[in-house]
Amino acid sequence: MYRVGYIDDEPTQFENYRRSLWRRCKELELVLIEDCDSKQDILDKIYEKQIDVLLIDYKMVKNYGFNGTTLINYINDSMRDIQCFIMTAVDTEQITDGLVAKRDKYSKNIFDTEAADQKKEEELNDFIQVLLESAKVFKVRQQQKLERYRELLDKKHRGKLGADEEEFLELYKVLSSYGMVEKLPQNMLNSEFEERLQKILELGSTILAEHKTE
Amino acid sequence: MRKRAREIEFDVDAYTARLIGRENVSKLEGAVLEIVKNAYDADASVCCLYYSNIEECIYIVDNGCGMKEDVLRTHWMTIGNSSKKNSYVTKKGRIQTGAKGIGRFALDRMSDQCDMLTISEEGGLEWVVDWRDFDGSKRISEVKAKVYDTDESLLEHVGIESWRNRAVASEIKKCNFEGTGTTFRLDHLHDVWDEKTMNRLKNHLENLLPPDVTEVFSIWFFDDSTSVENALITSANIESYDYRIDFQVTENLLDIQITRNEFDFRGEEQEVYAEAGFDEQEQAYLQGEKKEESFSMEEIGEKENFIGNFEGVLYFYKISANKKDYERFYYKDITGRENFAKKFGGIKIYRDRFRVRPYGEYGDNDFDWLELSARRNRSPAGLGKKHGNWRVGSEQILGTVSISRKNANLEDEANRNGIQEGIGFSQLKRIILFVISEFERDRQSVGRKLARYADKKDQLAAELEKMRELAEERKKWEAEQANGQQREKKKGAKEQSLRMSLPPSANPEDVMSLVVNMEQKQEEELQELRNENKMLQTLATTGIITNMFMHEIRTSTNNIGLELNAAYEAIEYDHDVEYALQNILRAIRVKKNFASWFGITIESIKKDKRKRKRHNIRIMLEQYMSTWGDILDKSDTVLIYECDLDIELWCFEFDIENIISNLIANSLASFDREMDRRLEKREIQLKIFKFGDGLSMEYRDSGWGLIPKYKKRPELILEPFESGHHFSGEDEDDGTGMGMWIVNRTISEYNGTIDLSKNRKIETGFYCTIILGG
Repeated sequence: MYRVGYIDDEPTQFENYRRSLWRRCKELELVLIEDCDSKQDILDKIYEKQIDVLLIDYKMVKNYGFNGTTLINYINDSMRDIQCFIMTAVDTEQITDGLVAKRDKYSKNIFDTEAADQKKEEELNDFIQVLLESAKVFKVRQQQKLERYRELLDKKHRGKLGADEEEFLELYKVLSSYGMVEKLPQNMLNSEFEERLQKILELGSTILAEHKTE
Repeated sequence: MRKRAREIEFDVDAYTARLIGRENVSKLEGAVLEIVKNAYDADASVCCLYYSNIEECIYIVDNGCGMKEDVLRTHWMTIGNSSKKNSYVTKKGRIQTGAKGIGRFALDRMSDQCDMLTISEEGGLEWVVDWRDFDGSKRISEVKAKVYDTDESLLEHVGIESWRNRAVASEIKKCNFEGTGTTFRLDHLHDVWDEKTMNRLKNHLENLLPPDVTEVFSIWFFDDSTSVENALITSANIESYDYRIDFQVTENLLDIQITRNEFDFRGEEQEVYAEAGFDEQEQAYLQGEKKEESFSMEEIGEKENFIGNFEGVLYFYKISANKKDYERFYYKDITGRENFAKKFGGIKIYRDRFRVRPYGEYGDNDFDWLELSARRNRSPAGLGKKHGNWRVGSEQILGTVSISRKNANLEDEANRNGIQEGIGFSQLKRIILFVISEFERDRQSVGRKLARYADKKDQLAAELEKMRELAEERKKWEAEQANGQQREKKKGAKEQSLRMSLPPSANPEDVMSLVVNMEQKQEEELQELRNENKMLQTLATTGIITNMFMHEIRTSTNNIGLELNAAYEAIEYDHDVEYALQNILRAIRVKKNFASWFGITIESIKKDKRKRKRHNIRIMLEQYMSTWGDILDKSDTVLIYECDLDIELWCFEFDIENIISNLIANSLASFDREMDRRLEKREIQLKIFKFGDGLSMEYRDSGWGLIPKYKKRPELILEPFESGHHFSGEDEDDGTGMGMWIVNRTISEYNGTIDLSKNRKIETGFYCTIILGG
């Protein structure tokens, strides 16, 4: 099951979209992202709800102060792997800020299949395939990140993390947000932690040794 | 298993190499230009091109730095390798203009045989090549040029003592040719160098030089019969302009200096200044003081400077003026003026003092590269017109824009045919157009004042009145005459003979009724035009409003479709009637919204709104404002509306509605502007008070306010095609730029005023006060 996040400042059609999607593809679940005040809030919700692909309304200035394209730019700064699509009521050509490629813009009308009109059904099904594929790609990439993370974690335990520390922290951030790895206390993330632990152990051994000789 | 390793060189067919060169320099003009450019790049102060009619050969001499043997070997003889690619500032600080390493093919373009002498600090070298050696099936490495050491001087090498044109030769000898430099003798020329060719090339060379380059670099171009005067190429110099506009872009600043040189008050200065209303500052400008203006990039609607520093100077020359305008606008005498643009070209671009073709080239598609003609067609108003902007014609303006290789985003096209289209070039065009519109605004502000002054002086009305009086007198006189006739009739005289004795003249009654009729007809025609105009304005407003709410209208339409489709699927696939019912109810609710849109758009052109009558404003606007209230409510906007009870105004209903619609539409657009934070509240306030015999409207909103482009001069938004869209790169404008223009026109039809001055002071929000028929 993949989770499709939906962001719209007036989500009146959410339930219709959710049903439409579910009816055609049991692997996709539309999830509403709401009650957010800022871009950061939205990002937190995306992590919290473990979203795999995103549908974002274009015109959101009224309730958010920014448009969907600006939001995508922001999200992709933190989450490069997640694919975001713009949904708009106006012509996709009218969005001229150049922040999102044409192929990633869809009209909201795509969900209106006009009572099972064949051509419309095909278009919607194509779109759903795109969503599904994007979600799968995201999952695969997350999986790869997880493997790399484990590799680095192993290095860390052996105190050999060195220059890879930054990558480790980055991966930890993304993966822990998605609940894919166990949350660690902040001080345990620090590379000095292992060293300090080692020193404490050594100190302990010395004390022990001294006690023994006494 | 590898054996016997060896390397094989790539090579190229000699003929192909020659073709590549020819592709790059296809015209004779281009070839001559390349040679002159090479001389300039070599820091020469003189370049001389002499065609010997007797010998049918060309001598070229420059006193540049010459070439050392290693430069000759590695750069001159290596095709495509230019010493100018990396270091392009010469010792004299000139920015070198070529960099493709193909300049030498200019020589191949001109002749088959070339003999070059180049003298550098290290001494002289002679280089001889026959381009015909490149023909046949040789490979390039097999083609050789011969090089000799020589102690000949430049002028000896070209044999100046035997030149037929002795007069010019002796001038050339006075130039500094003793030291370093380069000369060529070209034999077996490819072109016929007749008078026509010489004239064509001379014209090109004249245009090649911007007015100020001749001080540091002179070009001599002549054949056996050219006089000394004509041999020295002078820059197409221009003094008798009507307007001169200098501009400089320095980092984030655009400075403009406008010099007026168009008007001649023929001794009536003081009277015109006082009557037409030119204040002291304006008078100074009219007497030749430069009008200096300065703008930041933001103020001209640019996000940032993509290009870097550049500058230019533009000259405005009107080509002709009719007698009426000559008197009305106090033009200085321009009899005998030629079409300069035809001779000198239009607005030309120079990169490091050399022409970038084909911009401004008369007859070329890119002559009008700023699309001034199309701009003028869009706004064809005359100079004195109160409304509408006068725009300069493409043949009325010429000048130079100086850019440099140092500028970013302005690369040459690979085929040397202009500058690559892109963000830099579009910004360059926008900035120049801004400069031009500043000039146009200045000229029109003078023109409008002079036109109003002329109207005041206009004697037509007085003459008409005089005519009427005369007719009246004549009528009386005739009545008296008739009385006299009757008296005479009684006396028995014959009517026939008396009538014959009357002086032949038009019947004064006829004249009078003609005048009355004429006036009436004129008035009717005017009225018709006014009505038509009203209708068009309203249609335009309807368009503007519809465009403004396109998103909402589309959303509503989409939502109806989506709800119906969802209802269909709920019944068809899930047998969920309850859900389908909810869908249908929502669709009905959305449908109701449409009624409000139609109230604002379609209703406004109803026929009864097109009749002018005395209205009580509050009653008139009741329905209209409540419709707006509904619409605004749906987009979470608060409308605070108040109107005095007792305002009566003789007006068209839709005039007042148009003003309000356009103001609200602008506010909504401002609310939806994307900024770095959320807008705190969406509120529109409209208060209408009684003011004298008319009304005063106070309008304000809580939006983001005017964009920086208009902040300093909010009155600019009243001009047509001004639209508050920020340019960022290649974005196209999305506003119509007509809304506030319509508002302004309507206001002036009611002898009203609009005050936008408060917008200068406040940070956010939009404010205006409109007075109608006060």
